[in-house]
Amino acid sequence: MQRAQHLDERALASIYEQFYPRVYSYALLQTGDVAMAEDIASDVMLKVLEALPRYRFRGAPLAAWIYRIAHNCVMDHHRRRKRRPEVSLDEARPPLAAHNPESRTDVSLQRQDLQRALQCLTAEQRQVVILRFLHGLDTRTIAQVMGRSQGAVKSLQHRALKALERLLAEGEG
Amino acid sequence: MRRRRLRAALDDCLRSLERGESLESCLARYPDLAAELRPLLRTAIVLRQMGEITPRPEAQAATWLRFSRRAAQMRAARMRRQWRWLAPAAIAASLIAAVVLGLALTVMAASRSLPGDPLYRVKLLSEEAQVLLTWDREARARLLLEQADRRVAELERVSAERGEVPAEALSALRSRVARASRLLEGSDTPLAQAAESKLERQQAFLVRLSAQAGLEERDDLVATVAGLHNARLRLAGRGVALPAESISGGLLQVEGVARPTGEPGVWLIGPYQVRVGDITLGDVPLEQGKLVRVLVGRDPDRVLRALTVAVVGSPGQEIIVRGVVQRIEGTELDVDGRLVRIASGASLDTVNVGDTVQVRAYVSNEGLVATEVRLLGGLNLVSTFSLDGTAEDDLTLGQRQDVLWRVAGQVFRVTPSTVIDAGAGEPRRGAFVRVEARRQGQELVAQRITVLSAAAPASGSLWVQGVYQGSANGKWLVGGAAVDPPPGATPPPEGALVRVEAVRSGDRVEARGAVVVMGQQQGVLVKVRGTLREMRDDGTWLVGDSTVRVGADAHVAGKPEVGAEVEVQATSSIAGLQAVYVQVLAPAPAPPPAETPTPTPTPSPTPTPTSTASAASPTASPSPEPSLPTGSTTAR
Repeated sequence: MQRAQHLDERALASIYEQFYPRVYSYALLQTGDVAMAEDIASDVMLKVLEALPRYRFRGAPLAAWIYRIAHNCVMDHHRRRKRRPEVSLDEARPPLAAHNPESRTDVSLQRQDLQRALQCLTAEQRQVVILRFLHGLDTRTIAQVMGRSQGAVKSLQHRALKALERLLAEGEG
Repeated sequence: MRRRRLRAALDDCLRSLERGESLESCLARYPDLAAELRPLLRTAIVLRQMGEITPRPEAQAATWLRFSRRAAQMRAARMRRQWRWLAPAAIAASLIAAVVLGLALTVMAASRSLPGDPLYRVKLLSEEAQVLLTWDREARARLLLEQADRRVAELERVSAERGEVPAEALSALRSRVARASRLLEGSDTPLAQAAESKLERQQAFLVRLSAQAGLEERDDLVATVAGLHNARLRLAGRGVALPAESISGGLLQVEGVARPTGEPGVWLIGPYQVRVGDITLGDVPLEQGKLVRVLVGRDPDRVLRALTVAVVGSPGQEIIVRGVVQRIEGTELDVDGRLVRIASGASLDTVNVGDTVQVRAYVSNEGLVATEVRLLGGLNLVSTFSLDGTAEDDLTLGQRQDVLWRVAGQVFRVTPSTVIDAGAGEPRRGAFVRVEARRQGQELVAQRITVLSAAAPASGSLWVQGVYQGSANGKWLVGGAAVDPPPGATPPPEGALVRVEAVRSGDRVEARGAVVVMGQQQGVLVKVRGTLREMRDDGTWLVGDSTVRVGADAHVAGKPEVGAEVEVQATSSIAGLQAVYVQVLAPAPAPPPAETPTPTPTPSPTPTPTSTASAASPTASPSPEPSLPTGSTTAR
């Protein structure tokens, strides 16, 4: 980490290799737009690079710090997008393909359904789901990323799973 | 409550699933919540099975390019930032170094500057800075006194080289001595004592300088003399000050025997009426009969105030005065302001006003009494000399006829009129004696014989003193005595009073060295003979009752020690007597003598006319006869 802070090329490459895919994945799941996710991932990594020399460890892991930057970037993109003409939520909501979570093996198809379902969650629920089940962070780290308590994160997790279960069940129906 | 339990159970089951536990096993722990948990946990399992989302490699590579380029820029910027301080720092350091070097070079160059030079002010400023950086009072005073010395040296050099008296050096001198004296006021340290004598010498120098200075420079010099005098008054704790205006009429030095007038505090010094008061430093209170040299300041009303008094002679002491006859009145001669009364029977040349003369005199209560007045210059140089040497025969006192007496190989005719001073012993064989003689034809006629000590110095040396008249047949003529000169020696200037140390070789006198005790210049030479009572650390000796400064340039013959009998020949100045030649006449007796000083042997110039006195002018006739010192016998 110290070497990265001194802009050592190999240390920076290691961070980039580790976090670019995760930031991209996070952005894609948040936005559902590949191009936007690539822009966001690019912005986030440059912001990480700019801010890295000033980074100080205060109990939260580096991942929490980077996800927080990523989340802020996503929010900025959402705000920018809101200024543009909007489509209605019904129009925007992608139709979910019928699926049986236990029987479906086509992962790419299943991912599209899930991505659509994720877009129907609230931003916070979506963030918790992405970080908890898709990026494997524990509730403590998620709480640090979001600046919320662990209880709040667990509650969001519960509500998100319930909403997703309902959305996926609706899709099957 | 149930909702909270459900959330906690969900979280627990999710973590158990992450650890690899089966769904059923998890649900078995919460049978009452299993129905609610199951769909949620299945959804979570579906989410986890969703698979990894990988970015497009080209997008990742493109971003990496931007990322690494930016990182490179940041590294470069950081490098620049790291060294950025160096440029201004280097510039600043170079500037500071240049300024410091420039200042150092300027100060170095300035340190050699003289008043009137462009860098002289820099020199004064750098000295001021030194003073400001010196916190200790005594060290600061010492520094100021050293700087005052430098000012005097500059004045000496500039006045000699350019004939000017620079005002800025005088002003700096005044400022430094005033500050030093304030720092040392009330102090009794060796530095304070040294400061007093230093200021005294500086004052004497300025007085000499003022005698040569132009009118416009004189006021500044007088103000500086007043400044130095005030510093001395401060050091002496007098609590009075000398206003510069009170000596604005000028400065002069007078020398003469001190005599009181009817008015308190007013004394006659030679022909001058001088006020002696609180501002007078030196050998005060005055004593009647002392020969004193007084620095006098004249106020605008021409009243003379004594600034410094130095006793240069006591009654009975022999002195030699050289100068120009200013006035002849009855039996009184004024030789450059020194009044001399001619003793009856004194040995005289014919003198007129304007002649340069050498007067041999002694100090009496009434003034200076001349026993010999000789013209200086031309062919008629003084042809008397003295010889200090070992008596080779016994001389019987009270002879009624001429006898021949041999001293150091020289044969002297001793006549019934020859004065014999046998105070220090009998004029017997082996005694150390002084014969003052005059050459008459082929004969040396003794005019006065003084027994200097009962035994001659073991060195066997003899001394001849007289006016150097020139050389003839390879010999120096010293007051009429022929001396073989020291090998390779440069002859002294004609007319100078010289003292030659020699050895006897048969009847010849072979010189080993010669010292000019009084050059051709005018002035006074005082002879002080007595017991050396004290040799002080400041270079002054107490000989009999007289204090004499013995500097490094004084010639000392013999080994001086406390208790020894010595004769000092000294010049006089307002700073007192300055030794030129010190002769040890007899070593200190063992055991050391008691504290009581040996009385100063008094010369006994009993006026005995000599053949050369017949040419005396009527105005210089020896009448009336002044009182004479006693204690001598004559061969009569």
